[in-house]
Amino acid sequence: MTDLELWQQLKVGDRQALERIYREQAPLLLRYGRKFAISEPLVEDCVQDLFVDLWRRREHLSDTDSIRRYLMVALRRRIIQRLDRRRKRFSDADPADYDFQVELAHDQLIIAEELSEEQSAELQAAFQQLSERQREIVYLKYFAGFEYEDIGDVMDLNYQSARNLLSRALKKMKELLLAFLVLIFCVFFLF
Amino acid sequence: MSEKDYTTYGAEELAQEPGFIRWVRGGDEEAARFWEQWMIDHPERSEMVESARALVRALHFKESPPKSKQIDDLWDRINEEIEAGEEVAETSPPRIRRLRWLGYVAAAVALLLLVLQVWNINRRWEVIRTEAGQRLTYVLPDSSVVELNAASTLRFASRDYARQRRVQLTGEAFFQVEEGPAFVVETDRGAVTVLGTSFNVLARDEDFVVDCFTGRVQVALDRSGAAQVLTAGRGARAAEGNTLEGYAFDEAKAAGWRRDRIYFEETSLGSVFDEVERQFDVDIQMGDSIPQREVTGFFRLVHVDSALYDLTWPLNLEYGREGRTVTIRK
Repeated sequence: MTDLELWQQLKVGDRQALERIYREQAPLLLRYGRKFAISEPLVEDCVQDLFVDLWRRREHLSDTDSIRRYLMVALRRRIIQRLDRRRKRFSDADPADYDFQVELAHDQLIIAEELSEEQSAELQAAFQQLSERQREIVYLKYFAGFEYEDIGDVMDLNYQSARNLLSRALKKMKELLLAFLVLIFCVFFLF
Repeated sequence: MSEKDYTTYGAEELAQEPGFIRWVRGGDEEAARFWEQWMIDHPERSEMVESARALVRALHFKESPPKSKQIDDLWDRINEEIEAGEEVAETSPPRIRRLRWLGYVAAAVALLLLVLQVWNINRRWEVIRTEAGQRLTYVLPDSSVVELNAASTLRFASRDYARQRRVQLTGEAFFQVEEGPAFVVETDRGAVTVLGTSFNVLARDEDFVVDCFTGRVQVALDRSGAAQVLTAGRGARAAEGNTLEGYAFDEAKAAGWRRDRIYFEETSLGSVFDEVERQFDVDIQMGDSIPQREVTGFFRLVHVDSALYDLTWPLNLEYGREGRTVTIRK
């Protein structure tokens, strides 16, 4: 069944379609939501609201060819709204500001001796120097496997901006990587 | 993937190519074949490929997948909230502003019912009741929808419902029944049996009137066993001698209460005012000098005063109202 067909089943009021969508998408949504530096219960809350709303407004949903993208857009919007509401009570921070906390994991590369612990730490530091938006775009691309169109929808960017943002982020990472690339290069050719 | 000229690519561009990522991550043989061949064909670009490859490999994130218990628990909570909200959320907002309080009352009633339901979870019968001046929409366990008119009661055995779709009605309700096994509405005078359709049932005092809007509906009287199958646009009412009288109805007028209008045809003035009492929770006293007669027309469910006006002026009657007490005068 395509996403569109499943979505249309939801729209005509099929509860099983809702459950199927939930089972397929919830793991990714929870993982994505956690990255916004909010507590686990708040992430769960947002996902819960998202699905309850999806059901209540099912007759009015617009069609989508990618349920995953639709839900990630909706979840992100919800989380950022929540953060704004919370923040407004404390300061007048820019609502476009948000944290996107994600760390690189190099355990496997270290075990395979492709990276030393120090190098991994340096990479990690480089990654943390990226802006929140850059980190998010890298995450969407390499974890969720999104194309630029999807990324643009999720992060509210046009295609070219998404491409540029990602390229800048990768360039920054690459510069750091190049420093010890020679070593990786050698290791690769040993296999 | 082969149409692109990758020799012009920088490492960070290559690292964004989906086919390239699939090769680095492994598991895609086609991508692997392509890139291994490409490296052989373009040895001068090997450094660039390596740096793109290193980039993709480095972009691996620390993740702990949610436990399946967390996923299950969250789904349960979503389900609970949906079911809890169904009665409240599905109450269609009355179209006219002044009637909006009806919606709030209905929501409050629905909420109260829900609380009672949770509290008395083991009770056999679910009872959904509206008082005079209230209407409410209720979603049955199979997602069939019942719109309950004022001063009406719907009962069903919650535990048996999954096995047997059977409800009892006193008063008036409009049903939109989900496809499935037989759905039966039992009333004092007779039963209505359908498979999946929409229809209106009025079962109050001696009245028993069924209007079929879509699909097919079987109506049967308990006492005489008289039965009729109704198709869309047809209705049947219990008539004298326990017979069923069939008729065609105008869909624009039938079950008008759902659209804030009550239509009546050759109905005794007394029963029309009874309906006003139920809809607006008022007491109507008619002076003795008012002749009993049958009337045809409609009144609006906007406000008790406009309803009383709709009814009285064509008949050259007057009304006075003090709070909940209404007097009809000549």
